[in-house]
Amino acid sequence: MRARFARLLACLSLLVVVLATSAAHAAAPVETRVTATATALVTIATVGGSLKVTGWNRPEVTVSTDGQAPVLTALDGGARVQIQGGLGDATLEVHVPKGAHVEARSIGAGVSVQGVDGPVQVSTATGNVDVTGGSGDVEVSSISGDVTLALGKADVRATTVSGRLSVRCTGGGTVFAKAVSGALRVAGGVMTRIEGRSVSGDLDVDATPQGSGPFVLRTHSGALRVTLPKNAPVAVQARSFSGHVDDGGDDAGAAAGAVLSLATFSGDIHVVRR
Amino acid sequence: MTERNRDSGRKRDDTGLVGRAGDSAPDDSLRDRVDRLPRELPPARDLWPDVARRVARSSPARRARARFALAGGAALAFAAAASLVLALRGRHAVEPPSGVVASTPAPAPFATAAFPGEREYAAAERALDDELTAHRDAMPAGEAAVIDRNVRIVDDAIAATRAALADHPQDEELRAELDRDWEDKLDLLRDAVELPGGMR
Repeated sequence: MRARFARLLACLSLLVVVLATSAAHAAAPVETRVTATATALVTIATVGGSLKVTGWNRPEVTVSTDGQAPVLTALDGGARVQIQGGLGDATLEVHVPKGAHVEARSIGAGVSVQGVDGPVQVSTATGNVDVTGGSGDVEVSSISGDVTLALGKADVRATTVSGRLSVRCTGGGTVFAKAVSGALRVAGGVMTRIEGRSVSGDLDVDATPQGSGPFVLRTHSGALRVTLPKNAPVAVQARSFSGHVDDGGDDAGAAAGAVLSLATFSGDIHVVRR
Repeated sequence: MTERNRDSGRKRDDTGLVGRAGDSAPDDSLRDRVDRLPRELPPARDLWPDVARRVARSSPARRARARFALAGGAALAFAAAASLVLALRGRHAVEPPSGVVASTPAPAPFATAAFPGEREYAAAERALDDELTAHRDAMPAGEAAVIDRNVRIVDDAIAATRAALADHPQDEELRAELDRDWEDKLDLLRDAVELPGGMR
């Protein structure tokens, strides 16, 4: 009788140890790494959860997650790295060389990219996108997720269907932004190209156009609001089929400088020089 | 019943003819008669004059004219069907956006209000629409509703611009706006088709 009890106790103890080990293993983040070149093309595909990509000064790509281990593959001696993962609600954290070219595709995952100076391309359906600190080419497309880009000097191409799109380039650069019903906001320093188009969403621009552009902002029914530096040599050409137009009066740029073309079908146009 | 039982009482010879077991004499007789049949049968009359007359009737020029007429008929039928479909669709997408002035007339159906280039846009739209319908099941929940809502927004924009252009046909900016509206529509459908497709 005592021997049987002892065996039962031993089995139960073993079971407790196994369960405790499994639980500890499940909670521990999984991390994998590969060597990558400084300008490696890193492609990431996720479905849900969240994806966070950070640039660093190491010649390697690491991936850590609190969910199922992702598939990490290095090709061409680290010139190309592919990451497949991010099922469920897991968080996928990826570190890439600062100069890497990042391509991230997701359906529902929120995507954030920080400190990557190489080209960044992100496309999502419903997830939000945040890109900060980059200074290269940034291309983002979204269906309904909000897009927020806070960059240095950058060349931006961003499109959304119904999400809000905010682009800030403190060091200037170029912006092409497009939406259907989403609102667009573009802000920055000296911009050498600004093209914005929305159907029903409002479009706000606060920047200094400089050079030959093009500088073209158009909506169908959305309002168009532009803020320009008071003495900036910018000529404003504003036209609306049935909306109200207030072009700011003082045309400081009539003599020379950039030409800003504003047009709506029925949205109001409002230009402020501050 | 086994295969053997089913075939009992029959035998198959190497000509493929099936006869009853035990009646080999009639079989041989049949083969003899087949062998005696003539290899060629000349026609009862000379058929070539008839053939020549029919070939002459369908000369290349006549065939080309027939093909042209057939193609023209098909094109007319297609145009009529497309106009009907678009006219019916146009009736469902005529609500003007809130910003449009009250005097703007209700947009006319596509078939009567089509401006140059619109038919090409509409054809591209139909192709993308078909593709989107095929991909619809793979779209994430909620995304289809967002797409539908925004398609209606763009349709409203197209209808409003078209109506304004009907009143101001010389307005180049309105003409350009109509192009932009259509491009917005195609871009939207393309995005809807491509974005989930890229994940599969």
